[in-house]
Order: sequence, then C-alpha cells, then structure tokens
Amino acid sequence: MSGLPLTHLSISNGQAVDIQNVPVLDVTEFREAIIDAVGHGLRISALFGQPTDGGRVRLWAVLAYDSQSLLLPFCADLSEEHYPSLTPDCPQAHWFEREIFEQWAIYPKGHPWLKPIRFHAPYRQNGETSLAAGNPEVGVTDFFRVEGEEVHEVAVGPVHAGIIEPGHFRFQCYGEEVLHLEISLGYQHRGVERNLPGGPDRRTIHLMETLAGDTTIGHAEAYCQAVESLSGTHVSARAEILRGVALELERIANHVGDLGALAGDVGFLPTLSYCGRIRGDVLNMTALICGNRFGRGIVRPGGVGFDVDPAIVDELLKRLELVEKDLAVAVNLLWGTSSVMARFEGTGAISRKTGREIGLVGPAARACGIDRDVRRDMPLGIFQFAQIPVSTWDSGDVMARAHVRWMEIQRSIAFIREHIVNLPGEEVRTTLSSLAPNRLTISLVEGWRGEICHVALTDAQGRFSRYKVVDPSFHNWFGLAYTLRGQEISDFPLCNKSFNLSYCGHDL
Amino acid sequence: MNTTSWLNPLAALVLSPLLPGIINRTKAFFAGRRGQPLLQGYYDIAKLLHKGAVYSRTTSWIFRAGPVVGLAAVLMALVLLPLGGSAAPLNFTGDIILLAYLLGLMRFFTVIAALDTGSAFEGMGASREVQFSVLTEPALLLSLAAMGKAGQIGSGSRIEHLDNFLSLSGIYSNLSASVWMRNGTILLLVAGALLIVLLAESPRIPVDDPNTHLELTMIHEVMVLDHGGPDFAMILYGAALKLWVFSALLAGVLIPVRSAYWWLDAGAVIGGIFLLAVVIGVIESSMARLRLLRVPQLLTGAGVLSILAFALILWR
Amino acid sequence: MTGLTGSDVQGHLAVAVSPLRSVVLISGILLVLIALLAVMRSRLLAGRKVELSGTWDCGYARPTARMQYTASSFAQPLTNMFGVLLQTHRSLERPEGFFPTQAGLHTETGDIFRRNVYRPIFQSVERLLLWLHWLQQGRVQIYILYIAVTMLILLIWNL
Repeated sequence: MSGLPLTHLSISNGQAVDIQNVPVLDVTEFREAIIDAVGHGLRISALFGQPTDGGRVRLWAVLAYDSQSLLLPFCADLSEEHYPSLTPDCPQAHWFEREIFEQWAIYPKGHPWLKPIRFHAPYRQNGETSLAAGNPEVGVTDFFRVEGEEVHEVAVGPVHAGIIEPGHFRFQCYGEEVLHLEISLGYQHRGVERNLPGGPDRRTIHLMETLAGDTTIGHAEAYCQAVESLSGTHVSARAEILRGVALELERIANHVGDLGALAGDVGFLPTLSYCGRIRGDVLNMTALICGNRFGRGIVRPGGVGFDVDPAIVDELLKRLELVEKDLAVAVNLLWGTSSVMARFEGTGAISRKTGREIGLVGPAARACGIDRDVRRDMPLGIFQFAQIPVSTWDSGDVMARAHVRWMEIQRSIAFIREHIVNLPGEEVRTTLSSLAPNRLTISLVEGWRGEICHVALTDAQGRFSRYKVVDPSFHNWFGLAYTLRGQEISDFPLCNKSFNLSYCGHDL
Repeated sequence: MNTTSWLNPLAALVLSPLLPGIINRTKAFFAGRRGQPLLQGYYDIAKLLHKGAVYSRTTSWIFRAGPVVGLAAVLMALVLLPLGGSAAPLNFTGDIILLAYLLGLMRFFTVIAALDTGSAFEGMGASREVQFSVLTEPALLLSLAAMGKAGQIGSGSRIEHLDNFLSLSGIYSNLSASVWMRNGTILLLVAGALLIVLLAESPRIPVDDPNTHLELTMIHEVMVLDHGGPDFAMILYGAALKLWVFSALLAGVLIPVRSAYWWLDAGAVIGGIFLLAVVIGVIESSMARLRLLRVPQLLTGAGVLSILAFALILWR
Repeated sequence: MTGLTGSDVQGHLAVAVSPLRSVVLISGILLVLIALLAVMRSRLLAGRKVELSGTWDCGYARPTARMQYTASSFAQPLTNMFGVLLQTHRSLERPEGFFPTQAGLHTETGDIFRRNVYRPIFQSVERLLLWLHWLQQGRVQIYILYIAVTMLILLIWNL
C-alpha cells in the first residue's frame, strides 16, 4: 500500500494547479506510472483523452492515493493514433480505454475487449486508419460467446418490464446457470460531455444536475467545487453545511429506496411498502429546503441557492426523527426475516481482491471490505471538519451491500442532526469570479453511489477546454457483470438492484 | 347426478376471478395501501376480451391452441370437483387420476405454447414449470389417496363401494368432523401438502412472485409473456379457475361440514375458499420468495408430507 | 372351465369399463369445449386488428437464433435434480479471468439402462460364449465327432 515514491505532482481534492506544472510523460512512462501506482494500491479515478491543437490526442490520468488523501494527475501526448493498452496489466483501465477508443479513435493496442460502450461516432477523425466503426447501432457488437449448441443466450433489454432505464444485458446460460454476462449500455447517451467545453455558461449547472437524476446534488456539488476552485471562490461555512445536509439527504433517500427495492425483488412486501413511503418522506425533506424533491437548485456555484430558517430546521429535525423511527422498524424486519436473509446471503458475492482489481467505488466497494470513502479520504467542504465513519462489511454479497446502505443511512441521519442545528453566519452564496486560465482541477464527491469525479481543464481564456465526468457507475458496471458468473439467472435482478447503477450517469 | 352437484362448477365460473382480488386486497391491507378493486379480475378479463391480438411470426397453431386447451381442460376439471358432501356432476372410480391429467394437459399446452415463441424468457419459465410439476403432481395424488383411505377407515359403515377410495366425490363425501377426530394427524399432513401444492400451482409466494416485473425470476407470468387480447383473457380466467380448483381441494379437507342442509355444507367450503385467498395474501405479506434453487426442496417437502400421510394410513 | 358365470364376468368388466366410459365421455366433452372456445375466440377477433410481430425481444435491435432456450437448458433443472441417477457428463470450459477469450460447454446424458443393465448382461453373455470359442475348431472331422459324442450321450441317457 505504501512506499510509492511521489515523484510526480500530487494535489488534494479541489485544488487547482497550472497545467504547466502537470507532468507530461511519454507514453511508455505514462503506462508504467499507472500500472506501478495501481500495483501500490492506488486506483484510477479518471483516464481520458483530450484533443490537442495539433490534431493529436493527449491522454490524462488521475490516480487517487486514498491513504495519503492525494490525487496524482499526469498526462502523455500521443504522437501516433495508438498506444499500448493498459488493460492487460491493469483491469480497471478496461472501461476507460474503451471510452478513449470510442471518443477519440485512439487504438489501445492489445486491449482484450475493445468494443464500443456508448455506440456513438468518434468525436475526432483518426488520422491514420478508421478503426472506430462509423456510427454503430446501439447494443449491436460482438458479445463474448460461450460455445456449444447447448448454451442459450438471454438478451434482456433495452426495454425492461419495470420503470427503469434502458440497457442491454447479454447472458450466456446453461439452464438456470449464468456462465457469463456482458453488459452493453449507451442507450441514454446524450452527448453531455461534448457540450461542456467552452463553458461554463448558464446552462452548465443544469446539465450537471441532470447527469444522473438521482444524483442531482452529488454531481452539482462536484461541479461547483471544480468551478469554485478554478475561480478561487470561497464558500461560506453555512453553505458548506447545507450542501453536506443536502448530499446526505440524497444518500438517505436513495439508500432507503434501494433497501425497499431489494425487499421487493425477493417478494418481501412489508419492507418494500414502508421504504417506498419513507423514501418519499426523505425526498420531501429535500423539497422542504428547495421546493424540488431531487434537490435541484440547492447547490449553486458559490454556495447554495436556498437558505433554511429555524422553522425549517425544526421541521426537518421532526421529520428526520419520524423517518428514523419508521425506517428502523421497516429495515430491521429485513434482517429478522429468515426467508429474506436466505436470499441475500451468499448471493452475488465479490471478493475484496476482485473488487480492488476492478476498481469498485462506493457502497459496492465498502461491501467487500474495501475501506474507501471520499468523505474521509479526500475530504472537502464540511467533511474537512466533520467526519462520517466509513461503513464497511466484508462478505461482498447482496447482504453486505444492503447492510452497508443501512449503516450509511444511520450515520447520515446522525450527521444531519448534528450539523443542521449549528448553522453559522448568514451568507449562503457568494458570486463566482471568472475562472483562472490554463488550470487543472480535480473535484471528488462521495455521492450515494460512490466516487463522483469531475476533472476540469481551462484554456487561455478561462473557459473549459475539457471537462471530464466520471460517474461511480462507470467504475462499477463491470463489477456487476463479473459478479454474475456462476450465479443463477433468477438472482440477477437482486444482484442488479444491490448495485443499483446509473445508466444515464454512465452514458452521459 | 343432481342439480346441487352443479353448484361448484357454477360458483367457480362466477366467483373465481374474485380470488386474485381478495389476495391483492389482503396484501394491500398489510402494506397499508388501499389496493385495487376487488373486482379487478373481472375488469381485466372484460377489457382483454375486447381487444385485438398480436401474434409472433415464429409461432404456430400450438401457440394459439395453448390458452384454448388450457381453459377447456380446467373447465373439465371443475366438473370432477365435489363441493361439500354432495358429489360432483361427473364422478367415477379413478377420477383423481383424470383430474391430475386434465391439469397436466393444461400445463402441457401452456408449456409448449411458451416454447413455441422461441423466446429465452418463456423457455426459462417453461423449464421451471415442468421441473416443479414433477414434484407437485405426486404430492397431489398421494395426498388424495391418503385422504381417501382416511375417510374409509374413519367412517367405516358409511362406505358402500371400495372404489369410493379412488373417486374424488367419494373421497370428499366420506370426510367429516369425525374423520378429523380419528385421523386428524393424517388429514393435517395432507392439508399441509395440499397447501404447498396450492401455492406452487397458483403460483404464489414463496414459489413464484406474481407481482414481479422481472422476466428472469418469473415462472407462470413469463410463460404467457407473448399472449394478448382474448387469449390472455382465457389464460387469466383459466388461472383463476385453477386457483379455485386447488383451493376447493384444500378447503374441502379443512372444512368438512356435514349438516342436514346441502347449502350449508357447500357454503362452508366456498367460504373456506375465500378464507384461503386471505391466507395466501397473509403468506405473501409476511415472507420472501424462495431462491429458485430452493423451491424443489419445498415441493419435495410437500411430497414427503403426503408420503408420510399415506404410510401412516396404510400402517394403521 | 373357470367356474365364472357370464354375469360375474360382466360385473368384473364393468369395474374396468365404467371408468373408461366416463373418460371417453369427458374427453369428448373436452374436445367439444376446445372447439367451442376456439370458435368463440375467432368470433371475438373477427373484425378486430390481428397483427403479426416478432416474439418479444425486449426491444433489442438484433435478436439471434442463439437467444432461444435450448433443449439441454430446458432439461437442466431436471437433469440436475436427478443427477445421481442420470450421471450427466458435463464438460465445461468456464470463462476465465476478467476478459475471457474462449469458453465452451458440452454435456452428455448417457442411457443409464444401456450402460448399467443391458450392456453388462450382454457383455457377460458374450464373454461366456467367447470362453467356449475353443470348441469351434473349423474342422469338419471334429464337428462330426461332436455329433457322434452328443448322440452317444443321448443314447446312454435314454438307456
């Protein structure tokens, strides 16, 4: 874990640096630096391409050094249209490299599974060969096959029977057993990332709030941290606390909804019904602050869009108390019902080692014992002063993912209760000055699904030259697919719900 | 054959779509919701009967035969079913086997209609249905046989023909409170087995979750994924009738009222059927569905109960 | 000869025949009912929109023939459940690692009666006959000798 010589530039979460200071490596060094660091327990937070003026592509990497609370950004300028792939030596680069290939038509040589992930035409013409295939039909690619006439494939999606987002799941099955699962997304691709360079403008915050509807506050906060850092804006302590409260309310609401849905997937109605209602109550608490159940308009560059008066605080505390009481009954019913435990325990287990290699984040990572939480590891805002204990569990199965959620709910409730009563000062929002030119900043937020990573680069005019968004789902989708190997196909919905990943957050 | 014997088939035809409504209302009650109307089953069937149809290009006549044969088979099964102390419209020695086979025919056509679509989902459901029926059918037959024997021994003088033992009407008309006094253990085992068979065949939690929207976990619902319009109306109606058949078999054991009035005897069983619907609702509200791999163990449990009942009655 | 009178026979036959009569009756009604329901459906659908479409594929753009349940998959729960009896041989090459390159499955459920009953019987018969092979010398003189010896034994037998 330790002992990695910090020869490169290292910065903390939300710190802006002059791009000139970011080390530019050659491709081989770049590749080795990543593999070496990941071997030392660091992980890839972001890996992306940026087109340069010369018609070439610059590769950016952001590594997270959790134990030191440091982020390591560095880059490499490609002189060719290809580079040796990282994936064979560093599996967590797998999805990132597919994205680079698809967006910038850069060929990662030796990548074992080079397929589209969002099925859009490349953003750039490849100077040498056109390796990326034109404008492919979404979901049509060469899926991995288990050979043999006895094997059947189950193709689920893009249209699902529930009210969920579109995605395609391709199972290779023998009877009830899943031999292999491959997940193909891209149906929700809106081209958000492509619209961000040139910003920020008045639309940007709204795009950020709708990257993934259920993570409105998380993404908005990551964005605001980025622009505040680039412009050197100070956010008042009152606003920081309100942001923290909003973020934890979002976490509670989603975790409650997930616990209910997990109960629903095993046909356990009491918890399903209670949690459905309680989730609504929590969303209404958010609405009490800002008038929107999903928290739109709360987090704004420079602070928050809404203040709370003592009457609202009292009301929030009162409702929080009721929620906590009801929730304890509803959720403890889960742990106390043996038929539910029989479904949760041992289903969709993933080992800590595998979780590390894949680079899982959020509750999915903590459920397999990986002690990883941005709120503690890379604290920013209120979390620099108030620590929320990290909730981990070690079995890595559905049970663990459910239990981690429950622990996080309880800790978030305690956090809100403690901090909302001590709101200092009056000011909740300062005006944002213009962004500094030629800067890089990295902004991490522990959203309810896990680490949200925004990387912003400004040009000479102080506009975004590249804005990279990495939703936690981007790290975790492959984990879900891998978890299903050797499982029963009838347990898939349960496993899927226990990860509950975002389609639009991934597809952007 | 008398007119009262037609009461059960008529009651089933009219009242069976009420059963899913009762189950759903019970579940809604426990969930603190208002729930759907009691008559939703009728509305659904009426709505579907007014619709057109969409058929898959890969299907053949088998797919279209599925709902028709299924409904016809379960209708015939109703005619074999006694109610209270009175005999069924049609009864003869060995009709318990015909009953099992009529229900088997229904299942067979549902399964091949599902396979006819070529869909992996429906194949999955069909495969599960077949596996589970392998276990429920013997449990059903053995339960009925044990009951027949228990009735015979218990009521000694009342039987005239040996073959009563193998006829549904004979089996059920021999049951009474005094049989419960003498052979209570056996009837309790049988009732346990029949309850599991009922839950598996209906199909309800803990075997199948009729509410789930997830194709990968369903059994019965997924087999009829491609049916629509009048075909689906027949399937829904057939499923309600099948639920009635199994509920009547169980209610007949649990509530063998034998008074001087035939309508009291029959009314008690029909009341019992509705009560069972409430019980199913309570079961669904209080436990999770089993992991699919565990379902056969539950069904084997039903088989063991019925074998135990049968062994006990032979040993006496 | 058997001591049964005509009426006895008829009585015994009736036990078998009367259920059969009912079964035939019920089958007949069943067939009529099926026909009636089929007619009812076609009457209902007459004048309504009856469309042809693909089997529900979750809206996926390119369904393939592999997305159909296979016979082995259909039987898998049962072959698993009766695995002790059926002894299905399963050669499975699982997908290995995060990015597998190949995997395959082949199962074979042998005929257990042929393997465990018929084959052993016929094999032991065959072994026995092979053991008698030395008798078959292929020389006519020896065969005549066999006949002579056989007749001699028979003669002694009858004496």
